[in-house]
Amino acid sequence: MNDLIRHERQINQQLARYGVRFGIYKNGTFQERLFPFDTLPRIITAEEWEGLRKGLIQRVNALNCFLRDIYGEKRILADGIVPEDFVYRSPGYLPPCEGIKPPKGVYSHISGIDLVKGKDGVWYVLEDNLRIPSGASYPLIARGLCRRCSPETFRHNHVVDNRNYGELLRRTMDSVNTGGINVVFTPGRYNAAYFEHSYLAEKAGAVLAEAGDLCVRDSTLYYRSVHGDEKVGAIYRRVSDEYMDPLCFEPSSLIGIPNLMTAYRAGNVAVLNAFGNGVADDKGIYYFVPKMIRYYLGEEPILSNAPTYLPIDDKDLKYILDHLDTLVIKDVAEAGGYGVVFGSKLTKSQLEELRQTILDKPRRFIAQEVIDFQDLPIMDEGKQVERKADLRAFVLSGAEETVAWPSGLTRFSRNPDSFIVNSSQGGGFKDTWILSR
Amino acid sequence: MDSVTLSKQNRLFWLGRYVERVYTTTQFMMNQLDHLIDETPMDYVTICQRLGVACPYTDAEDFCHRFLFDADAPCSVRSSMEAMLGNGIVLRETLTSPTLAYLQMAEAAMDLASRSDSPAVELQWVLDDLMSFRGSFDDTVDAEEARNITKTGGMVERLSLMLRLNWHLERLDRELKKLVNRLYKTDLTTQSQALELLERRALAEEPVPNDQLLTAVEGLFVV
Repeated sequence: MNDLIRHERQINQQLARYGVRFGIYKNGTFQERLFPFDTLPRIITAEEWEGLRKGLIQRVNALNCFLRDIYGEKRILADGIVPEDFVYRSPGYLPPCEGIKPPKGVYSHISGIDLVKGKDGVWYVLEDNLRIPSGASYPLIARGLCRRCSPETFRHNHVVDNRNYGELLRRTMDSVNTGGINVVFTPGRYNAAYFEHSYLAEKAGAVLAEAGDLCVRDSTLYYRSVHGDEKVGAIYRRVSDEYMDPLCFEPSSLIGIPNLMTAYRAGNVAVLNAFGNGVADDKGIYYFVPKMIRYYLGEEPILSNAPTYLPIDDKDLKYILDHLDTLVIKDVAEAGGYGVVFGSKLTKSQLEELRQTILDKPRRFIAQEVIDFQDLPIMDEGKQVERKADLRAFVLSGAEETVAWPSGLTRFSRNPDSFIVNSSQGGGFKDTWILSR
Repeated sequence: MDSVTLSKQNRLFWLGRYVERVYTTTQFMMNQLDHLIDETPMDYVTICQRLGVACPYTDAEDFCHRFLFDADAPCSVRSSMEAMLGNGIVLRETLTSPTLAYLQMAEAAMDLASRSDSPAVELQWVLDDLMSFRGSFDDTVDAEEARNITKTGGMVERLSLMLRLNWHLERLDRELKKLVNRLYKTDLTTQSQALELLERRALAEEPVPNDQLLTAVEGLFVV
C-alpha cells in the first residue's frame, strides 16, 4: 500500500490528464473541478463481498418486482404491505407509466445502492438510487491509472478486476435493446456528470447524443445521422424523468425528446432506467424495502436498512419528536446530500421549527438513527487521517440476470466533522477493492 | 460504434479548426516572443487587425503575454484552447479518452507556460501535445468520415491564418491543393462560388488576390 501512496502525485496527474472532473454551479456559473482522489482504497474481503453481492442482487430484484407491480397489478397495495398513500403521493410516481411494460420487464437496469459499514461490522443500506445513479466511471478509470502508476501494489494484492463495467453496461443495454443502436443520452456539456456520460458511452461502445440528435417518428426513436436516420433500440438516459419528454412531462424542457413516451409505450425502445422509477427509491418507500423482499421473493433480507421512523405512524412520530436532537431527518424529495438535517447540529429554536414542519408535513420526512459508521483512512497532505465514507455499489439488471459490479464508488468527507460525502459538497472518492481471496 | 449527426459534424469541423488555431497561433507567438529578445519592432496593432480582434494592448510585451494567456479575452490563444478542449470533450466517445488526453495535456502545458519566465519552452509542449493528438486521432478514430471532417476543418483554419498573418505563404499552394482534394471526401455542404474560386486558384493556378482567397476559404462551408 505504501507504494500506492508514494505514487499519489502521479496518479492525480493521470486523473487530470484524462479530464476526470465533475461540474458544479456556483454563484450561477458552471465550474469544472477535478474530483479529489485518495489513493488508499476501501478493501472488502472476498467473504464479505459474497454477502454484499447476494444482498444487493436480492434488493434490486425485489425493487424491480415492486416497480412492475406498482405500474401493473398493484398486489402489494391490495395486500396492505405498502400503504397506497406512500405510492400515490410520492413525487416519483408517474401516472403516465401506468400499464406500460418496459422491454423484457426490467425497470431498474442500473441501480446505485448507497451503504455504510457500521462500527458493529454490519453493512447498512442508506438509500436506493434507481433513476440515474452516477459515479461508476470514477473508480473505473482510477483503477486503470492506479495499476499503471503502481504495478507492484496490484501484483501483490489479489484485487478483482473492475474494468469490465463498460462491457457489463453494453450487455445490459443489448439484452433489452428492441433493435437498433445503443445511445447514451446526456443533457449536455454543462451537466455535473458530463465526464461520466461521455466516458461510459465510450466504454460501452454507444453513441453519445443530446436532444437535437434524436427524434421520434411513427412511435420510433431515431438518431439523426447525416446518412439518414438510424433506429435507436436502447437509450441510457442521464436526464431526469420530468425533462425527458416535453409533451408528456415538463412542457418547458428543452433538453428532452418530444414524443419519446409514445415510442416507449409502443415498446419500440428500451429506456434505461425506466420512467417512474422514482416511486421505488423514494426515501419513504425505503422503509418498506425489507417487506418487499419478503413479499416478492419469500426471502429474509440479507442487507439491513438503517433504523428508520415514519412521521405518519403515530408511534414513530412520538419517538421522532422525543429524540429529534439525536436523529437524522431527511426530506424525501431531496437528493445529493441536500435536505439532510442532523438534529444534534440544530439550535433549540431550529429544533422547534423542525418539529413544527414535521407535524405540518409528516409525509415529507423520514427520520433515521445516526449510524455510527466506520471511518476510513485517507491521506491528507501526507498524513493519514480518518474520515466518514460511504459506498455506492452498482447493480446491473438485464433481461437474463442481475449482476453486482465487483467494485463501487467510495466517497468520503474531507471535512473531519461532516457525514456528508457527496462530491457536490466537496467530498472526494476512493477506489473500492474486492479481494479475490 | 460511431454515427455522425449534423451537430457532431459541426463539432468535428470546429475541433479541427481550433486545434489548428492553437497550433499555428502558438507557433506564431513563439516567433514573436523571440523578436522581443532583440527588441525587433512588432506591429501588433496590424496583427490584431488582420486577425479581426480588439487591440487593448499597451505594448509588444503586453500583447505577447495577454494574447497568449488571457483566458478572459475571447480571441486569445488560451480562449481558443478552451474552445478546442470543449469541442474535444463532447466528442470523447468518437476520439476515445487516450486521444482526448493529449488535448488535456496541451491545456495543462499552456497553464505552465503562463506561469513560466521562459514561456516558449513550455509552449513547445503545447505543440508536441497537439501533434501527438493528431497522430493519435488518425490512428484511433475508425470512422473515415469523422477524420476527414476534422482534417478539413484544420486545413481551412491553416489557410485562413496563413492569409491573415502572412505566415508561411510559400506553402499556400500546397495547402490549397490539400484542401480541395480533401473536401470531396466529406459530406460537408460547400458554397459553390467559394469552391469555384478555390479550384481556379488551386488547380488552374489562376491568380486570385489573397483577400478574395481568404473570403472564399472562410465562406467555403455551411457549418
